[in-house]
Amino acid sequence: MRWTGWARDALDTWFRRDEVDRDLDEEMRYHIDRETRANIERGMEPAEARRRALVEFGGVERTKEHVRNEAAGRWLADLVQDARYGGRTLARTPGYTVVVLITLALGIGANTAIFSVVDGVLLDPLPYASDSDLVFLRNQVPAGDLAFSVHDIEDLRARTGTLDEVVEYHGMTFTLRGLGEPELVRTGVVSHNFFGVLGLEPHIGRDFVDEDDDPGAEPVLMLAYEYWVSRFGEDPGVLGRAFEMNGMMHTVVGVLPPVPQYPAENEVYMTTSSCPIRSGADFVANRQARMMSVFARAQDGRDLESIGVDLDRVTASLATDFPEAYDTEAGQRFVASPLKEELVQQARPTLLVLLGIALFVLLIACANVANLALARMTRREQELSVRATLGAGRGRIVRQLMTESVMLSVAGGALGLFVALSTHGMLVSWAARYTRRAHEVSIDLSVLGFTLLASVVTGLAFGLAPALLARDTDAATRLRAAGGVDRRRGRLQAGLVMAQVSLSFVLLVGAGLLGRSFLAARSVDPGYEPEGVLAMRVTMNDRNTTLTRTELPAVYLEIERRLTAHPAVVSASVTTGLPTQGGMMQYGIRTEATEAEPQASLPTAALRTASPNFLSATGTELRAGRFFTDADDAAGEIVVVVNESLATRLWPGEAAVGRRLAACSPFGQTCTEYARVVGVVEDVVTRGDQAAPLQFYQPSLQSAFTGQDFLVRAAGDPMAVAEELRAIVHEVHAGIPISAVTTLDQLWGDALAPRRLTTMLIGVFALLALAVSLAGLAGVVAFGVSQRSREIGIRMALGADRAGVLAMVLRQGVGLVAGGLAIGLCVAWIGTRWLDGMLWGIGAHDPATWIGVVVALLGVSIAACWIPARRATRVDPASAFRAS
Amino acid sequence: MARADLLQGTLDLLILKVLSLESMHGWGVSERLRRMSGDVFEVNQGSLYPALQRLRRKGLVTAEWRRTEENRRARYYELTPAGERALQEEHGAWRRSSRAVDQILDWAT
Repeated sequence: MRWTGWARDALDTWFRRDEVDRDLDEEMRYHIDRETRANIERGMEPAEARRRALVEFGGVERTKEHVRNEAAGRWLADLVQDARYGGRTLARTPGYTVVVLITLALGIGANTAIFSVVDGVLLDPLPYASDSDLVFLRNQVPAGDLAFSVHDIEDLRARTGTLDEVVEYHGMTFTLRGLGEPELVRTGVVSHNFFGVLGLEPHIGRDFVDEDDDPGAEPVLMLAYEYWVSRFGEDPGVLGRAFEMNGMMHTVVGVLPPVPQYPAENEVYMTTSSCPIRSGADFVANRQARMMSVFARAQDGRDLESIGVDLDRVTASLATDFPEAYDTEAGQRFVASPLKEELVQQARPTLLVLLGIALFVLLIACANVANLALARMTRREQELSVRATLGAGRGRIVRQLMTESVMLSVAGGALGLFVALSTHGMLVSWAARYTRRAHEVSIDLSVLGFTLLASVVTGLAFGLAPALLARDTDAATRLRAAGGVDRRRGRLQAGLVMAQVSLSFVLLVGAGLLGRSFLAARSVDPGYEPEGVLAMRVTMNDRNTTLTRTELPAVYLEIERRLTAHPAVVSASVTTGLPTQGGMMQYGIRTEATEAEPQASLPTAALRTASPNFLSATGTELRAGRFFTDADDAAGEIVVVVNESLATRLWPGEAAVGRRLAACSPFGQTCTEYARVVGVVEDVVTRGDQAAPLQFYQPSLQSAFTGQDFLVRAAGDPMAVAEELRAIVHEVHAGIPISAVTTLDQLWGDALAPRRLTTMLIGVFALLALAVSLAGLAGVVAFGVSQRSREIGIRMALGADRAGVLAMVLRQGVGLVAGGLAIGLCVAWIGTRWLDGMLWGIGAHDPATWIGVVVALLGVSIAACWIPARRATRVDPASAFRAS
Repeated sequence: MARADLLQGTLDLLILKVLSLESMHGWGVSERLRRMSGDVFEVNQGSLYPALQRLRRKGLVTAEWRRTEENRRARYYELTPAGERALQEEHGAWRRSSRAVDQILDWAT
């Protein structure tokens, strides 16, 4: 009953507005007529009777408004009315509307774009079943993390009480034959239940099964979805086809679904029994042959803490049983961390900093729009007064203003979505440098929700300022010249501008610090001369050639010799890994002085093998002693060369040449025999914003590893002769895969790409913020000038010169900037600490940056105030008087 | 404004009472209230019509256009069964609270 009354009433309010209004009019008219008649019956003159009736009734329109306010569903009708009215008002001031929309689109767009990355990378669950149970295991030692050996994994499975399904993974690159040219494929080597633990089922075909893991099992392959699409055109007939890898036929049994691959992107997957290294008897038997990553699923209800306790117990028991392989005294232990954590930890700090910065930009945009809205209020005072007089309550007027601002901000947010969409591709490729989850970034429902929320909150925030002013003045005051309101508005505007300036300052300091860090990183001496050097990888091994391991080094040196013979080539050298990579293997370095110390406390250094030409090919300088010669072969004395950092670390303040060191494998405490240090070379930096790693070099012919990377220094552009160089390689050994042909210049620049992109992104945000703030500042000063034009006219009539007026106006502007700067300095002083981890070569309070930003901000602020100030000097005293 | 808020519930109760005697239009309600109160209540039309609208929305009264004795169209308000119940409840509540107020005031004298 009650409900039907409400519903009919609401329907009337929404759909029969005019009719309801007519009814009300008629009802009121009847009341007044009836009262008039009653008054006449009481003996009044008809005219007087009517007048009394009208007076007694009071304001008809007011009463009607109050009746309407009692109607059900009124708020919606009001909203529609407010929105229509707001739309008309905004359409009448297109300049204001457009400026506000652009400002908001940029502010909200920036936030949407960054949030989409945060959402995709940090917030979204992993695309796997119950991702929260998945953990990543680490074999922690003080010097970093070791991988896991076969025994480690088997004993973990046997001894843990908190983990189910312990699975392993390691990545290899193998040559796949049977698809035209032999090609290198990135290969994930996994336990048979690896995909099951991740909750993945094959797109087609079958998953690996228990038997596939058995030693000697028929080799089987699982293809990655992307590889299946690009190489096989989604042909389901690929199931059952066999390809040769490592001299054995591998049969394709399944294709993975199209989900992001973890922990790394691969073309194919095989089981542990198919990997020639992983299945080697020596490798399996050696408890310290550690190469694999380990994942596991936590048992129901087990949290990280209880898993940690369990793993400590496992490590302790292993250390008791196999003291030679586990050094718990030195701090070795197994630890578990959530898989998701593992995937995003590198991206998190940068992303959160960016999100904070985007929010700053939005705040500045908000303040700017609020200022514009305040200035607009001056022109709307008349209109609002009339509405108030006609019975619009104060609440109603505030609601009207809020409706307008939320309309603007939601429209701005919609435009912001386009901003976000247009920058989407760029952001994804940027994020890909930090996290493997980048490809999951998308503008999805939660991002849309965020945008809507941000838009509405923005609208309410910037609508608040004018609405507060409107609320606190009653109709009567507003109809009069409202001096008090102007003063309050002036203060509000000044406050908003100061807030903008202070936020911009914080952003500029942040961008400045990152910019200087980038420049510092770029100007770092890499320790080689990257210009004119071509790098290429020639993958030749005893599995894709008929050569034996012992024959390989000689073939590589033959290739090197022939490359050097090319007329454009200055020097060529074969080595392991590129200068921008730390080195393939990390070794603990033992000297005679540290003979007795446990391996965990030894310094670790990266191994690089090098041919005698290495220094002339790279341009790395010799600091002491000599580099390798052709005499340093398998028959010669075992020698090494160390870099400066390692020399200083091992023998501080003493000559390194002539000393002896041994390299201890990370796979265990097995050390090489002592080698004599014959030379010291300068440090090679892997990337500009990282300290140079400790490194030592072995002669190609004395190393257990065969270098595969050729560094070729050419007289001109090395890429111009790349094809000829390839041909030379194939002359020596036809059909050998050649990959990763690029220049060192390119690699050195690419190594800094993440930093460059982050810096650019923050720089763009800071400049955006600055531009918006300067526009706001100029606007407020211009508004001040227009309000004071009469005063300025009087001053000029009384003899003030133009310079004096100019200075007066500028002083007002600079006062605002100084206020903003003062606040900004305090905020930035504390806030830049968050940046500490992202800085390189300078401190967070780097004086040059801070002083530079202060000076620059003051400079452009004065320039921004100059335009309205110039206008002030052109005020004509006579017209200023006439205007009043 | 504060006074109107204070009186709002009372006004609603009085309107319900008047309409329980017979259905009538807005002017009739205000005239009847004035007369029944011995000219003590001068009902402000700015409160009366919003109150009638409010009672309609709550489903306590219904409204209907009818002809008056002088053959004019007027909106007549009529109590619904829900309005009847509300009147009894409100009346009881009013009686209890006014008795309590009286009791306190008598005590003081």
